Amino acid sequence: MAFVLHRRRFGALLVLSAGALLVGAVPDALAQPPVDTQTAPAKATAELMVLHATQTPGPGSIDPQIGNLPQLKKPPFSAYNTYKLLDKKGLPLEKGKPVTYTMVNHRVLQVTLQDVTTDGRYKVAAAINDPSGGTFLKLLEVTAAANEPFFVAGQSYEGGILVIGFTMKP
Amino acid sequence: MSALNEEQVLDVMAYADGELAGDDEERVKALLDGSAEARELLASFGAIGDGVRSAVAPPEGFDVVATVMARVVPNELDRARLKRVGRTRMVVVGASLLAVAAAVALYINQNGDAPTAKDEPQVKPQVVQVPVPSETAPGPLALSTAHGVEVDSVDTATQVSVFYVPSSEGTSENGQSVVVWIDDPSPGGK
Repeated sequence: MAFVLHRRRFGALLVLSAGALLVGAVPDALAQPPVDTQTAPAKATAELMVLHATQTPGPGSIDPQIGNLPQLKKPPFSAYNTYKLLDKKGLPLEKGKPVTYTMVNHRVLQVTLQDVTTDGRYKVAAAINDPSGGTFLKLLEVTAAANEPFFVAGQSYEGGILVIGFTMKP
Repeated sequence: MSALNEEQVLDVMAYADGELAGDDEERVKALLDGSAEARELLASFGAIGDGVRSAVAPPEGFDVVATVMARVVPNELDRARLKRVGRTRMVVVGASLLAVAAAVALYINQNGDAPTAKDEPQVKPQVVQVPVPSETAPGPLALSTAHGVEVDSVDTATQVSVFYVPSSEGTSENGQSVVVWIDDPSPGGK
């Protein structure tokens, strides 16, 4: 009987030791960096295009300076048939540092790079404030891949609307 | 000697058991004095009682307490031993479960099976907006996601809609982009 008990005690100690070794190894494994975030620096450039969209008689036109933006021919942009490039600008962004840009309607666009995700996408915050103190867009938060445009549209401007195109560049 | 009747036999039995007193006892004593058969019956009751007592009486030097304790103490020891064995088994089972859990956690971590943002499917449920037919204001707030672009939140005082726009022939690598359309109540429109 004593031999059996000693054997069981030895088995229990063996299992406990194995468990302790594994448990001790887990935190080391968890401590490994999951993804190499060094490949995505916390800097980027937001390329802005400010377009003026209007509805004109006839087929309308798209400013050749805009480049190839087939989205403009599709809803909801197809509500307007004429697009003109008003401004094009690159905003250098650093994580956590807001950058402002004054638009043609005197409203101020503020863009902030919030973060760069582990898969290389950019978390961007945008706000549009009126110089009179009002706020047109309190906050827009977007996660966008590089070279993937997104748009903020709808501000009334000279018989049409403004369309702001954002494209994040590394 | 006349045979004893049933009542007399019962009386002798009661007398032998010491259950009689007074007139009943005197009556049986008188019966015993005058009846040899009654005395033989009484004597037989005594012999039976002695036999029974001798049969169940403990032998000389018999220690009841020692005997009981001798039977009880080993049982207690057995129970204690069983409890200890039970605890040992519980420790072994618990340690085994712990080891298995640790092994599974280590395996998952080392093989990168833990879900990450990169592993999430890029195509998420999307709110498909009906295209704006005219220059009317877009509909109520709706969040939309698209390949490569995801609207996390929109906060505005006016109506806002979020569209995804296919761009199969365009610059978008994944074929669609996002439009946040905000209703502008201020003058200056068309």
